Order: sequence, then C-alpha cells, then structure tokens
Amino acid sequence: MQLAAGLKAAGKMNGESDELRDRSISLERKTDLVLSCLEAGNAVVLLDEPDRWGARSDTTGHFAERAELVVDALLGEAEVTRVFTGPAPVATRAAKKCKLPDEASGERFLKDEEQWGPLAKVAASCVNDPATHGMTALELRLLVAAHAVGAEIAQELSMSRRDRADALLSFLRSSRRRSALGAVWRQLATVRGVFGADLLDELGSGLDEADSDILRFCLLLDTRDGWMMHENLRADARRNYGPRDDPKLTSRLTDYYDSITEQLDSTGSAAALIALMDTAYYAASACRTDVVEKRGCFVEQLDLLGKMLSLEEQDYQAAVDVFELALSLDNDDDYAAHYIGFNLDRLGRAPDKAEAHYRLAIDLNAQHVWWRSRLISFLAERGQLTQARREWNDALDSVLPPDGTSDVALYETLHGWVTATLLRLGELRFARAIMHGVPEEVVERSPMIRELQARLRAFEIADTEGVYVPANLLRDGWWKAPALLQARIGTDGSLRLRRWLACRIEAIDDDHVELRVADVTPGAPAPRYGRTRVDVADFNRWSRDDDISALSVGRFVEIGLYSTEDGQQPTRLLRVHTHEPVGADAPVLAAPLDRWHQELAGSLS
Amino acid sequence: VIAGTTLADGHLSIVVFGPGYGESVAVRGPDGRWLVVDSLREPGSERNPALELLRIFEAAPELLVLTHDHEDHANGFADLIQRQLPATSRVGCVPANMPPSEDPLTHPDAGAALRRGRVRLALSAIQARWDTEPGSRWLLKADEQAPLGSVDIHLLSPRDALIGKARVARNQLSAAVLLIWGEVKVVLGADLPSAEWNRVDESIELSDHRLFKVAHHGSRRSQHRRLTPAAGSGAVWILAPWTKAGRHLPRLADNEDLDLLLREVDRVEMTSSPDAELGSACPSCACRAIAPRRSLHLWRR
Repeated sequence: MQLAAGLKAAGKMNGESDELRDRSISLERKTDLVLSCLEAGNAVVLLDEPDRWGARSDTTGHFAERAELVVDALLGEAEVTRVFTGPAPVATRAAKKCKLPDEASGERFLKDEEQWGPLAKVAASCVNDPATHGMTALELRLLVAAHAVGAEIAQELSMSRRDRADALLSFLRSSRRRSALGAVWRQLATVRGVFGADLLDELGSGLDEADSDILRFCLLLDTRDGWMMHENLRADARRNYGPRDDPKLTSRLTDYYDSITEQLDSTGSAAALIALMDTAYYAASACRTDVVEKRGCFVEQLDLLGKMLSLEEQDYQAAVDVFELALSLDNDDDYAAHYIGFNLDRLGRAPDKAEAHYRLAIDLNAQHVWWRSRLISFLAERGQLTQARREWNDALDSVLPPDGTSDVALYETLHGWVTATLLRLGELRFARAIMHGVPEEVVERSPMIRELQARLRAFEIADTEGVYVPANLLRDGWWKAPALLQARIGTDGSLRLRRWLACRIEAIDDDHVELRVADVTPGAPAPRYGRTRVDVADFNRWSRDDDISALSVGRFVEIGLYSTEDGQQPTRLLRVHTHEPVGADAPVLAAPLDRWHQELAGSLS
Repeated sequence: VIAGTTLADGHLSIVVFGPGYGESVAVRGPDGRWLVVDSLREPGSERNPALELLRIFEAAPELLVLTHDHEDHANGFADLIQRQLPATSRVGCVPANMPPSEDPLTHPDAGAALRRGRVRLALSAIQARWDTEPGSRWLLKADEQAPLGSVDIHLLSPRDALIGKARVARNQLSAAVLLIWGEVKVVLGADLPSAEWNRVDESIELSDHRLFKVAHHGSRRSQHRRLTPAAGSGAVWILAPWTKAGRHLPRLADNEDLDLLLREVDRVEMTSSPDAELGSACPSCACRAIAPRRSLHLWRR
C-alpha cells in the first residue's frame, strides 16, 4: 500500500489502485499489479534493510510470510532499479556497494537549538564527547537522552558498542524513576507509522515534564504528517512485546485508527487505505470482530484475526467462522483451510469437516510440512491408524527431497510432532518406524527428537518389563545401579549395598504398603520381578525421605539392603523418588486428549 | 496353531487369546458371522492375534465389543475397527470412566501413561466409527441384545444404575456377554466382579452354560456361585491368566483363585501359564495348561 501510495502520488498508478482495495483479489495478484506499475513507471525502489522485514518484523508468522513474499518479489522479479540499505539480500544479483559519508562530528546537529528544544543545553554539552564522532543522528539522539537521564547510562552509551537503544531502554525500564518513560516507549513502539499529537498526549499523559521532553525531542521524530518512532527504536522495544501483550492498548489503537479511517474513508486516498489496513491489523490483534465486520478485511487480516481468536482468546468456534470467511474470499488460502480443520479438531467437533479442510490445505499447498503433520496426527487421534500410515507415506514422498535432507525443522515438524501424538496414544510400532527414519545428524542436533526417542524407549520397556522407576530413568540397563541409594553408608562407609529393590507403590492401607518390585543383586544378569508387602512402620523407619502418609499409589521408591563386608549389621534404607513431570523437550500438548471421545470418556466425569 | 484349521459351518467356534497380559475372544457363529470381544497386542511384538485370526479366515466381524476401558482388553481395538467392517456391523462399548487427562509424554509413570494412551486410542476409534456409521453405535448395558446370525447375544452387565455414576470401578462397568445358540449357552465373563454377578438378572439361568470364559483372570473377587455348572454338565471353563508386573492371576495358593475355581469344575483350561514357575516346571503346559485339581495340588507340593 505504501508503494501504491507513492506510485499514485507520482501519477504512475490510476485505476489499478481500485483493485488493491478489492479483498477478493489475492496478494500475489496485487503484488504483480504493483510491480508492473513500478516497471512501467521506470521507478527506483528504496528498501530500508529488507532483511529485517519478514521474520524479524513486528507481525505474526503468517504476516511475516506475506511480507517476505512482497519483498522477495521486489528483490527478485521486478525489472526496476533497487537501492537498499543494510546487508545485500541473497536474492539480489551482485550489487554496487556505497557508503554514505559520515559527518565529521555531530557538532552541527547537537548545537541545533531548535532541534533539541528544552534539551538544547544537554545536547550542546555532548559536543565535546569524542564518542560522538561517527555516530548516526539516531545514536546522537540516544546519547542526548542518556545524558538527560543520568551520567551512568550516558557513559555506557559513550563507551559501549552494543545496541545503544537496547541499553537505554533496559536502563529506563529498570530505573525506578524513569520506568514510566520506558513503558511509554514500548507502548508507542506498537504503533505502526505516523500518529497524531492526540495519541501522543494520551499515552504520554503519565510522564513528568523531563521525561516528556526526552520522548518528544530524542525518541520521536516530528514529521510533516505527525509523530513517529524510528524503526530501530521500535524494533528494540518490540523484541518481547507486541500487540497481544497489552490488549487494552491494542483495542485503543483499533479505535484510534478506526476514527482516522472514518475521517479519510470518503477521500478514497491511499492514506485512507493505509489507515484501513492499520485498523484491521489492530482489530485483528485485539480480536475486535465488531470493527472487522464493520470495515471488512483482507484475507491476510482475517487470517490473523482467526489466529488471535484461537491462540489468545481460545474462542475456537469464532476462529472457524473467521477462517471460513477468509476462505470464501480466497479459495486458495491454504492457511485458512488448515486452521478451519485445526480449530474444529481443537474443539473435537465436526470431524468430517475438520478432515476435509485439513486435506484441502494439503491440496492447496502440498509442500507445507505442518499441514501434513497435523492431518496425520488428527487421523491417529481419531483411531484411524491405517489412514494415518497412508498419509504418512504420502507426506514422505511429497516433502522429503529424494536425496535426503538434514533439515532439523522439517524432521521436528513432521517426524517429531507425529511421533509425539502416537506416543500419547501408546502406538509404539508406528512411532518406532517414524523415529527410524530420522537421520543421525538430525538426532544429534535436535533435543526434541532425542527426547522423543527416550520417551519411546521408556514406553517399550514399560510394555515388556513393567515399570519400577520414574519415566526419566527408564532406559536400557536402568537397573544396573540405583539412582538414589549410595554404594556405601555409615559414618565410615562400612556398610555396603548388597542388594536393592526398585519399587512402585501399588496400594496403601493402614498397616501395609504393597509394592511392585524389581529385585536387583549386583552382578545378576537381570532383576527378578514380583510383589511384596511392607509394614507401614518399617516403611517409615527405613525412609530417609517422606513417610508413607505423604505418598500415594504410583510413586516410586528404592530400598537398599546394606551390611558390612562380613555380612554383619544388616540395614535397610528407603529413598523416595520425586514426582516430577518428564519430557521437557517434547512437543507440548496442544489440545485436550479426550476431545475425540468425550461422550465415552466424559460420561462419568 | 490356527493356520490350516477349518471352522465348519453349523458349529459355534470360540477362540480365546491370552498370552499372559491382555485377553481377546473371537467367536464364529454357525453361519459364518463373527463377533470379537476385546483386543490385545502381545507385549513387545505388538501382534494382535484376533486381527491375525480374522485375516487368516478372511473375516470381518459383524459385532465388536469392548467390555470395559482397561488396557489389557482395549489394546489394539482400533486395529479391529480398521478391519473393513461391514456397513451393518455394530461396535459396542461401555461408557468409560477415564480419570482427568494428563499428558502421557510428561507423566512420571510411563506404564500408567502407556496404558491410558492405548485406551484413549480404542475409545477414539470407536467414537470415530460411531460418527461415520451411526448405525454401528452400541452403548453396552445389561439386557441389551443383538443377533449374530442364529446366535443371540445378551448383555448381562453393566447395570443401568451404575452408568453415569462417579466412583464406580471400571471392572464393575464391564460387559459380561451371554451367547445363546439353541440349547448352547456361552458366558464371556469380562472382568465382572462377584458383587455384580449377584446383580445379574435372576431370571437368566447361567449354571447350564457349556463354556465360561472365566471373569477377571480367575481372581477370587470375580467368582460367583451362579456360574457353578450342574454336576456332570461337562462345562468347559477357560481363563486368560495375568502374569505382568509381579502380580499373578489366577493365584495358585491353596484356598485362593485357581483352587477355588477347581472346586466348581474338574478342570480349567488356560491360555498361558499363570506363572513362570509352572511354565518352566511343566513345559508341555506352557501354552495350554490343563490343570486337573488333584494333579495341581500334587504338583504344587
């Protein structure tokens, strides 16, 4: 839209701009349209740090993909002259490299009283700081701001070569006296583009005069069209902070841009369209379906709204509704198709429809590994293992290159997530076959895959030998040494471990503890398995940890039998394993396990 | 064992699987229709013997029954549902009593996580079948009936009053099945405990059965006098032992499990050895232990 606005202002785009407003036309088509106008208009395109657009932009993954599509088209396809700042993008041919001359010093800039207003004296005092030599205008602004807030941070910004904006923001946020300024900086960083004085006054209303001056004269730019924050300052502030972190602000920005849209709507200008885009962006981020419905949205914005409704609001049915609208506008929107399936799956509703949309997404984009992975998991979770295996083989044929790959992300997305689903269903045979297909170099580089291999092995041992120790210890040869018991005890280490029992508590009553036992004698080829009963009094007397009143069925303990070298002083010692979750690197559980058999599983709950 | 065997029409054929963990019963009616009750996969190899049996006889069951939601009866049930069931088939399930879900991948007890996951898989497969073929839906409870050709299938349990109630043990909800073919009665006891046998409709005569799949691996807590066959009836009792996790059913001690069963019938057939000692001391009994009461006692001494 910004390109289109520039083209229109230069008289290089006329009726074509109407097509850009048409939400039934795909982004690819719109990109082609803009590119053709650029080429016909013999335009020069300036891209400011294109490597920061896609994945590093402030948008969600989905928007980042779309941004990359446009940037890639500009870099790779358009027959136009391109100028870009920052590192040369991979997609470009050999580029002529230019370096803009530095000012010898920032003296002239720092002495510009009109530029600095009430901070003019502070700015002027920086002139003699040798660190200002070679600094950019933005770095000089940050330095002046630092001098205004404190000598310590000013010195750090002078001396340090690390990201000065990041350093200043960190200082402000941790400073008791200046934290309000840090907070407003972050808030304003979520505002895209230019904004008016009214919004600045509103968000900055809690600042004292000194902070307000720093904000207005150092951190913000007063442009012809309004206030704005330098993109680098925004990027640093947004690193761990986005629209979803402050829903109230995001909703406020929705109203703010909506009112601008209202004012400009009748003009039909590019500015009106950009305001509409911003409105839709914030409305989607804030899940403001009222505004989305009123203004209408492009498919990408609907997709974002659907994502936010699903991820943030857990309103899966509303997400389905929004994705259905997106799909009705763009029949090729595989993202919307997939997430209709996903949200129905999450709800445990309309399985036929969910499966149909999972399959439609694959039809539209057969190479998308996640689409494949989710369909296979869905089929497995529905108990349809035959179909799941069929889809698995099809996925391998489609997404794995014939000459192999060591792409960790691919294996984690496909092999990892599907295996996690199968293990959660106790389907070891299928899971084993999948894990065998992961190259060793991927295993070495992927904690997730290694974790799943460990869980698989633990389940296999549980299936064949039973379980006597917690899952994190259940590996081949687990019984060769106790995890908690020491080899020797006693003040002089005179008592040696002669034999030990790995136990699971099976039942507890007032008098006895019933244990399932693996009885291990050092040097024996394998444990002997059985059950035993222990008096509660003995259990408590032997325990170095909790007594039985603090334990429950399913907990694991070790009992050691010690004696001296000549068999004297027989002593028993009991240690209790902690009851901690395992599998920290496994894929997280994304949906309730019982959603596809709620009727059967939930009838008694 | 099965390959090469012919199952003749006009006979009621019953195959009970139980390798020491899990049990599954395949029934071929006299007119070639099949019923499978419960499912197992052999630990380690994960072979599903009922499924293999169906493949050998190129059969697809008309009736599938999951008696209750314990893994030793549910593991592999999804495989059976995937066995291209006829459109008219019915899949029966008792309402489960699943505890709240925990993520099996992070659960510190791998055994419990594995078992629960497998039950979930079976229930999901059943629900999916019910969704795609609504006619297959069969919520099991006492007094329900279904035909298997000329064989009538009667459900003896679970009682209606238990369904939907909290704090009901899953074995209490298990579906015991009575097959009636003319004069012939077969009782498949699931894991129904003694107290629930006591509540089975008294008008149904059970003592005249020809075959009884002993309830709950022969445990003492599942035995009941109503199942005592008439003297000289020649009733065959068969049980699937449990030998996993240090717990052995039936117990072999005097006045316990198997000993009590042998007071009711002269012999009990077992699908595998009830414990390692018996198996190793008597190799010929390793897969099919025929244990006459007197010899068992002698042998044990």
